[in-house]
Amino acid sequence: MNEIFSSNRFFKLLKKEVTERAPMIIRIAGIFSLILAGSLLNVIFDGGPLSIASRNSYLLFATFITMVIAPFNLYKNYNHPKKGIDYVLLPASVTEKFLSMLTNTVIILPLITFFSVLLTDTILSTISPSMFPGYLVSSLWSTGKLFENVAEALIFQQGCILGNFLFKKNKIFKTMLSGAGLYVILALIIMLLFTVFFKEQLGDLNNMNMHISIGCNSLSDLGKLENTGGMGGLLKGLYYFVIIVFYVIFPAGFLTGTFYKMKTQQY
Amino acid sequence: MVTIENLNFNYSKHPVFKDISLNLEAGKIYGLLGQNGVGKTTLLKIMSGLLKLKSGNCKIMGYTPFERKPGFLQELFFIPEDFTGPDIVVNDFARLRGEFYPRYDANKFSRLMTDFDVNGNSKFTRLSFGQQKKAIIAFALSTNTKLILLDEPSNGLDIPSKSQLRKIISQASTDESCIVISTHQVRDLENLIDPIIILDRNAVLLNESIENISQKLCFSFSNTPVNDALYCEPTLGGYLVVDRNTTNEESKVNIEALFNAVLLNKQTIKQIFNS
Repeated sequence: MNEIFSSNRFFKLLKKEVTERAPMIIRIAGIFSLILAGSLLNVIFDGGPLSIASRNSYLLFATFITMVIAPFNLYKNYNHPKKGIDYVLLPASVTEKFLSMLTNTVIILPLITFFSVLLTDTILSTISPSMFPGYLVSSLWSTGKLFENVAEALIFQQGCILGNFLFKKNKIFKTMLSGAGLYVILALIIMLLFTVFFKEQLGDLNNMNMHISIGCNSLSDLGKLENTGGMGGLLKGLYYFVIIVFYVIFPAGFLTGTFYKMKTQQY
Repeated sequence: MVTIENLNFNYSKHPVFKDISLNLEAGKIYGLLGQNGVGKTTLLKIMSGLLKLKSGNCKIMGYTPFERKPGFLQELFFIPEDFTGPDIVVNDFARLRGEFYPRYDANKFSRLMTDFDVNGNSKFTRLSFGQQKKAIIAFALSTNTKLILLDEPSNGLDIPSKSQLRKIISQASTDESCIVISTHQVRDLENLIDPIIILDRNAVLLNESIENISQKLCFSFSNTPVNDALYCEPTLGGYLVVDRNTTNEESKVNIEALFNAVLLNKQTIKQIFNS
């Protein structure tokens, strides 16, 4: 018997998980669709049509919120000293349970919410094109930042998944607090690098009498800096440091931590 | 089937087990007895892989429980004392989980649910505590796993269900399976559990079959108190006495009296059963 991963067992587990969690998944997707449908009333009384950009933002917001609440809703009992026993003793490996949990929280619930809101929008646009001008589905890919947003939401969600397994009570609050703490620590490390280890280069920057403006959306431009003396290399280094921490170390740490907690959780 | 050697376990600074050793064999229904807080539930949780032992060795069918390998989990079913089912229909619960157990018998589950008089089309959350417990016991026995661990199974059951439980557990026992029942309600499970394990803080005081117990100890009724007996308890119209069996005549074991006799005479009992 394969004790680590069996596709047969994994799909049985996935079927069980989806079947048992279907009411909750439908409820969450339904609530976000109903909110959009409810906005029709607001539009009728207010008079103004709901722009495609604001509907697009709502779609991304609904999907993001769903991703964040998915682990807390679907797997809140995993580390519960009593209610978690049923799942942990189910004859499947930790790898299968981990992957099935990720499939449900990362793919199934967010995708169902995404398509449910999209479908509602399409229906509303068809019924009332004056109040819901344009089809959201056609403008969805034109924003260009969809994949970047999804990637960032995924990293945030990995943190939430770990928080769900780390904390037993007030999970959401403690997870958000830990997330904020993590970012403060990261900011302090960067500050420390600048004020202690790269003090000289920072001094050079003041003497160079140049003005640098870095916006949120142009952080990636730091990677393209060339021939700006010592500062260019420093900022480039900072850029790669932040990218590696945010896009590699954080998600890898969150996933490894979650797997480890699932494997070693005691009841 | 279960081999525990020099098991040590503690909850932070509170020691529970110190160098406990125990062997459990297939084909038996063990009764796990002990005072509150001696670690009966903890032992069941260690055996089912819910808790990690601090040191020592625990092997069940060749598996280390805490590794929670699927091959081990599909041969084990643990029912905690205060089981509360998820918010789904009982029959769906059984159907979806039954697929993970290679010898799960859906017909047996339906039959046991009928015997217990529980409606399988109800959601767990709509059933009373006792009904939920009966449903999970029915499912546990239908999985036909080799090791079934029951923590206080008769708690919350009504009187007819208790006798039904005795009947169903005795029917479920096979030569390949081992059932361990932790209980305070020994009268509920009398005539069912054999052998008897009595746990004490940091030690196994007794792990003997009913036959051995009745060979070594004598359970009798006396009109007057017997002062030099191992245990003497006033009862209706006389005294219940537990003493060494010197006549080689076997008597019916009274588990409650046995438990009290063992607790009062730990060293003597060890000597009697080790001789």
